[in-house]
Amino acid sequence: MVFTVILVIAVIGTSGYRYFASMDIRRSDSEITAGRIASQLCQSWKGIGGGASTYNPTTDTGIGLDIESASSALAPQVPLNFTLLTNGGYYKVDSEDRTYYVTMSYYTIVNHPDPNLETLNVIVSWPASGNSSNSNVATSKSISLSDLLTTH
Amino acid sequence: MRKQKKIRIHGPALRSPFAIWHPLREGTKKGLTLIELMVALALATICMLAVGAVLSDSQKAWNQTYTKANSSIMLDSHLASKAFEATIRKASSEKYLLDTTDHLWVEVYYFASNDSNTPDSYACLQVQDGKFYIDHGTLPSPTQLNGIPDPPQDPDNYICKNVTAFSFSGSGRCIRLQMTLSDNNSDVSFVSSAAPQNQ
Repeated sequence: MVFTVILVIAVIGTSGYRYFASMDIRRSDSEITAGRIASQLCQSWKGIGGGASTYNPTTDTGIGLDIESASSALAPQVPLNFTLLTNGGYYKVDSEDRTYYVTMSYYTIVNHPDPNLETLNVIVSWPASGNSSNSNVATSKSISLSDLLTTH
Repeated sequence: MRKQKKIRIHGPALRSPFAIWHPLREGTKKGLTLIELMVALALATICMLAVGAVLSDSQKAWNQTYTKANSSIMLDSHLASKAFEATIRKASSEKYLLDTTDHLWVEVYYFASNDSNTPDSYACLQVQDGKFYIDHGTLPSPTQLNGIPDPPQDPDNYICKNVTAFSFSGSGRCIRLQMTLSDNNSDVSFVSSAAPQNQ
């Protein structure tokens, strides 16, 4: 009886440890990947030189991401006063068996000595459960990255 | 047929915990048999091995994630990105030279001093033998721009190694670097963009 109790405690303890360790690893892995996606998109966008609205990440072959257009239903919302990219602005990135949703928008800064200054914003979201192979799973975690672009 | 006798280990310290509550053994069988001891040890060993396997597996997964975030090529990619941005941002916005055919190098120019009217020094960014170099030097004359990249001045003075793919491109004022670093375990791709800020 004593041995059985000890065995059950050990099994429950190790199972719980394994479960939470796996979940934490998967969450951190998702956040690392989302950060990389946001950084790559933001830097690629910043490097085009022209106006922010002309960028199309689905045709930019240099990014190295599996990216395609997506519907607005699952992608993050556009920040207030920001404008979506003209070719859609909502995208889906598949990386390491997980799906990330991206919203890309920009804001032209007014009342600034440099009239060609624009703020770029990239929001990447993914399901907190970690199981995002099903593209219909609602996303609940997100990170946002902004940078400045001079267009002249 | 000779009947085998069970070997029993007697004594208060080795008394089986089953004897405390088991009604059949109460008062009749004290201690525990060698078979019982071996079975208990075997079960305990199996439990410890199972727990050890779970802990080892978790540790391995944790190490993989840590390596993914802090591997040498990941740190090298941060270093290359920051070095690229710092070099480009300090350059003159008047002119830069870019290999528009193969996208293998880019050269930006600087004012060596506040009294300079024209750019008189340069920085050449290129990759040779899988190593990323940023070479600084003085132009032959203040009006002659060094358009052809020389080999790295010091082959051992590189920003990072393990470069397997790269491309320099430019549009307007912005210069963009796309690079992939690889080692035996993983690949890291990054994009870095910057615009020359000096007049």
